[in-house]
Amino acid sequence: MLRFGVNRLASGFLTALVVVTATFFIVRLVPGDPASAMAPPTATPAQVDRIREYLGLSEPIWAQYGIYLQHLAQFDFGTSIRTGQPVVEDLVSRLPASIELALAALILELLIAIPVGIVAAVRRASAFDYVSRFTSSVIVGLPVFWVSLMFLWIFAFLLDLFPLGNRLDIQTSLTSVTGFVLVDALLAGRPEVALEALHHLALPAVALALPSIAFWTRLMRGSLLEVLGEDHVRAARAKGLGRRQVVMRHGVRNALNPMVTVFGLELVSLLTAGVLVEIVFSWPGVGNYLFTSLQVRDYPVVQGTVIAIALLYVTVNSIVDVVQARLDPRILATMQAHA
Amino acid sequence: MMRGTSRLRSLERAFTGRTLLRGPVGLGMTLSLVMLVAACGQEQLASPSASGSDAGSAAPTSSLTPDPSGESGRGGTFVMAVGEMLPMDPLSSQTFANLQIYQAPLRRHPTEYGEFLPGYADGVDVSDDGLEYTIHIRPGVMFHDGSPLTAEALVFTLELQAYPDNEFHNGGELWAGWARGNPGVVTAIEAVDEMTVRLTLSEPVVDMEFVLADEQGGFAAVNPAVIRADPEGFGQDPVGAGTGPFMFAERSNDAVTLVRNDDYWDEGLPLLDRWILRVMPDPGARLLALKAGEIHMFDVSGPEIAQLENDPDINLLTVPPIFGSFIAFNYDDPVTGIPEVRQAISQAIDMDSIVGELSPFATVTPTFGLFPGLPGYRDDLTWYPYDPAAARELLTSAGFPDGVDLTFTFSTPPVGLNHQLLAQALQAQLQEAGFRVTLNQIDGPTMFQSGFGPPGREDYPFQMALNLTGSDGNPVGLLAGWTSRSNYAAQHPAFMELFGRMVTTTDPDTLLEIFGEMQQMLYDDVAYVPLAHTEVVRAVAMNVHGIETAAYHFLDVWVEE
Repeated sequence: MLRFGVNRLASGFLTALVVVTATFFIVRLVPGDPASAMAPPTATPAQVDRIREYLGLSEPIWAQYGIYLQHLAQFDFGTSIRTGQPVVEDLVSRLPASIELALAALILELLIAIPVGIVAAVRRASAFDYVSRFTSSVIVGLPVFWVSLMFLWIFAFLLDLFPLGNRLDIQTSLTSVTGFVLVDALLAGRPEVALEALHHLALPAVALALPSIAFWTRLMRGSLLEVLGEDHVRAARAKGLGRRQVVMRHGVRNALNPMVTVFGLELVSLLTAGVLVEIVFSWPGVGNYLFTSLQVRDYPVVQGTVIAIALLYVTVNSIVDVVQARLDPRILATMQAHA
Repeated sequence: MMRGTSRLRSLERAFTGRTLLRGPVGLGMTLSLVMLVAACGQEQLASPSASGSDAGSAAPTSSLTPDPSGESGRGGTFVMAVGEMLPMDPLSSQTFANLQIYQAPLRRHPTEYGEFLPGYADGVDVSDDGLEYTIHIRPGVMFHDGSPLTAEALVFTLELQAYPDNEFHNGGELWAGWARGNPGVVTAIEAVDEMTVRLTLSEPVVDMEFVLADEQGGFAAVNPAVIRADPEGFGQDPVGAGTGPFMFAERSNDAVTLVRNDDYWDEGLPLLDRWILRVMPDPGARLLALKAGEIHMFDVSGPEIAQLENDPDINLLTVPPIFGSFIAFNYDDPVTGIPEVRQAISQAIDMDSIVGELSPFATVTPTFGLFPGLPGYRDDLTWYPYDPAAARELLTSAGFPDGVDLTFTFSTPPVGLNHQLLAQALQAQLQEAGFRVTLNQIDGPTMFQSGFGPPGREDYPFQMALNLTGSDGNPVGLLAGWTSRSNYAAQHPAFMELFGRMVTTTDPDTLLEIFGEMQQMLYDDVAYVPLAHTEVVRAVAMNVHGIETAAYHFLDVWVEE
């Protein structure tokens, strides 16, 4: 088990290195020179060179890469070209907003998708099944950006049921401790602010969760149908167990297994999917940060954000693998055989 | 030439203004900006007190600044939406918040190009030779932590901005402060007495007034105690940092809140209680927030103008700067390098028929080099008239009787006119005159980075490009731009020679002459094709008062809540 864990860690590290390398070079392949962008239109070539030197862009690319890796090892993602702030600090201050949104979306997904998937599988070919399948195929195809704008327009603007974005009302002032507004509000003993935060969170979370709800519903339905057809379920039925017990204990429990694998990754992929939602709902998260930095070719920020998300992916993936191996000895055996 | 360019750096990003404060002053006189400042100041400050007495009864709390409708009031929270959040460090980044927190000796007039209002100085004297500037600090100006702005404090801020080797000089390098690209131009910064600072230059700076009115990277007064405490990061939470009308209160990743500075030197101002910058990156979301009353103002671009134009609850106004669209050419190109071809292109375009489609606020730019209304503008050099037949003839005489292929590169800039619409309309018109135009759309940063270059640049990556120039109303900056926005100047040494003279002259009449000559040259060579220009369009909620006179400073603004 320990060896498996170490192996997993090592391969995770390699993956991370590949991602870091790819990001570094891809960002530099994009046309455009940040030094010229920073310089005013009337700057002389000498001035542009000075800026290039200042940004460390005058070194040969391999040297730049070496320096970059060295800094990265010390968790130094560089400083933003535009704001002069360390990228790590900016990321740390923005990550909680993104994680809060992603977690809220994930919880929504599970709360809705699992029961709907179960009912659809159990009442296979019923009207409920058809409606849920049809609805989810439609929803899966909707672009998140459009859904977000429509939500904003209909529920926030026309119906005035929700705020038009941001994490709190403009008049509300809350000292940031953890960066998670909900937690901070409760820590400060202000439940009304926590409610306000939930009110702000609702629309973007639903918009972000919607396409995935459809996906998870179908996954749950398919997985459960498969399990329900297996021998042990038939055996349980034959033993005379109640339908409810068969479905919940023998069916759902086993059907959830493949979902656990996706669970962790879903959280990270919600972080990236959240970019567009964050922009529409003025949500001050990592996605927003990445978007504005991309527009001005702020290399260190783009690089830092992409790498941070990739590292999250790798880490979560490794953890999921280890946890799964622990839960299900069969998986450990297969993985060890492959390793 | 090196010497001249750096001083133009601040202009390119400044907001409004006119260049020639020295213009009206007689030769040989010691120029005092005090006169001008006082004149502008009276004009602006006199109206409140003049009408204040009879409008006083309507005021809920005070009657300092009645708005033009005769109502008066003060207070309220003003919320403005912007696309992103930047640190509030005037030495390294530009944001609306800086203009409220910090001050310069002068302040740009909100609506009049080239007019200035008083800032923390109650006068600035300039020596005959333009080498010595004496700044008289207004008594009673205080930093937000209650400490006074003294000559000593000002010398500290100016030194760290002017000298790159100053120990507190920070990442502001990137924003190219006015003196930094021109090492050695500032030879001394000294405190003459407790309230007077003298600045000595090694050569005259032709547009110094703009620098004196630049709150960001120019002459912003920043509290030395605040900088000493955290030279790199004070802009994150600039408590006590500035002398401006609003003080920093708090910041999150999606909002900055400033509160009124009750000790502001201009008594009774500002009128607002709170001034908030809210980050809303999506234009659609901003529009909804404005209509819903969650925000009071944002700068509109492109498609939203049409959606707001007929909204009775929204006030659409324009503020400086001007953004002008033009066609730039590659002078090394076998096609666009030929003057007849450029003139043919110019004559194939009928901007009058397009301009209405672009924006209700757009105006056709009829002449070369300067925008109408700027000092030295030549209204006699009119546009090559629209005449497709003449264009075809020119094309034939240039050796292309069967027409010619052109690649027309454009991007969609976030400000100014809609370049996609414009490029398509121009393509259609050019086709009629025998040009086979291929449109090549590229992203904004690429256009920005390759479309602009150093003065006298030799390479230009596009055959023909739709580009954008911004103007704070300063003719020097605008004319200098033509040396960097294509490789025209590299092949026209006479233009570069004029450019060199322009940025070193101290005589206003000579300067006007040079403006005229440069425009003539741009016209004769069809150096570029001017198309249309517009100011920044701004959408404001109806319950905001006094906004007509506030472009970037919100002293006279109040919100009816």
